[in-house]
Amino acid sequence: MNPVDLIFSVIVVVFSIVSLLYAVTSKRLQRALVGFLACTVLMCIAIAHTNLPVLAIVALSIALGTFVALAAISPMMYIETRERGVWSYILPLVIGLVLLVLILPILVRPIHPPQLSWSLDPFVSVLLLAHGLFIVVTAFTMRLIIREGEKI
Amino acid sequence: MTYVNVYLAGLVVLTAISVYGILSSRNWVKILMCLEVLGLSLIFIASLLSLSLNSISNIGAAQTYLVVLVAVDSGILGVLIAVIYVLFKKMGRIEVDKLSELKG
Repeated sequence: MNPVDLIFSVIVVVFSIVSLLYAVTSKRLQRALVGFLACTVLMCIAIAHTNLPVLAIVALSIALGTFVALAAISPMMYIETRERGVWSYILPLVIGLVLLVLILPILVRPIHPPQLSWSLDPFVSVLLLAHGLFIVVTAFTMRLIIREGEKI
Repeated sequence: MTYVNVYLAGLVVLTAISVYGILSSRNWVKILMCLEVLGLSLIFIASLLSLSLNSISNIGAAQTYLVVLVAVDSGILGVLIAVIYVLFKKMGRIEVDKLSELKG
């Protein structure tokens, strides 16, 4: 195993965790957006590093689109909100349960990176087209609902 | 322990932080950010486990399934952003607790 891969993965994981913590705990939305962008870009780098380049490219496009959308609407929704009491007994319990359930498959055995593949299955275009149509129909439906709501 | 294990452990921590952010935050934009990170990390975990443990033999089919998951995730996010925008236009605020005023 190449030690450079291990060191690089540790650096990427640590920076992504720190940036997400910054995004969650920051009071200003603009700073939180910067943390969110850093976290998602680092996650896409991690996906590309594990021999899944197609998924990394799609995830990066989705993450950048989300960032642009949130950055576009955040100035008109600028507000400093008071957060909930975060250290009640339920919240650490839920987070601990999530950690326990998700960490179990990792402890089963050492996981090796998958085989590098630049191609997609032939039916990907049909599935993507179907879901693209679904998203377009959803957008038009939302537009119709908004227009009817403005009339009321 | 390979570097994929390091990525998986980090993704589990990211998932937990996202759940924490969703449960503790009152701001809709922060909840959306945490939802997006949660979706991406879960998709990444699922892809690594399914591809690396050979539970899905065809790597092309697995990537197709995961790309579709990402597309659906983006559609859900777009709908949520539209709903939040309309709520802000109608109510002038985006705090989750104030949405009880929408009750008839």
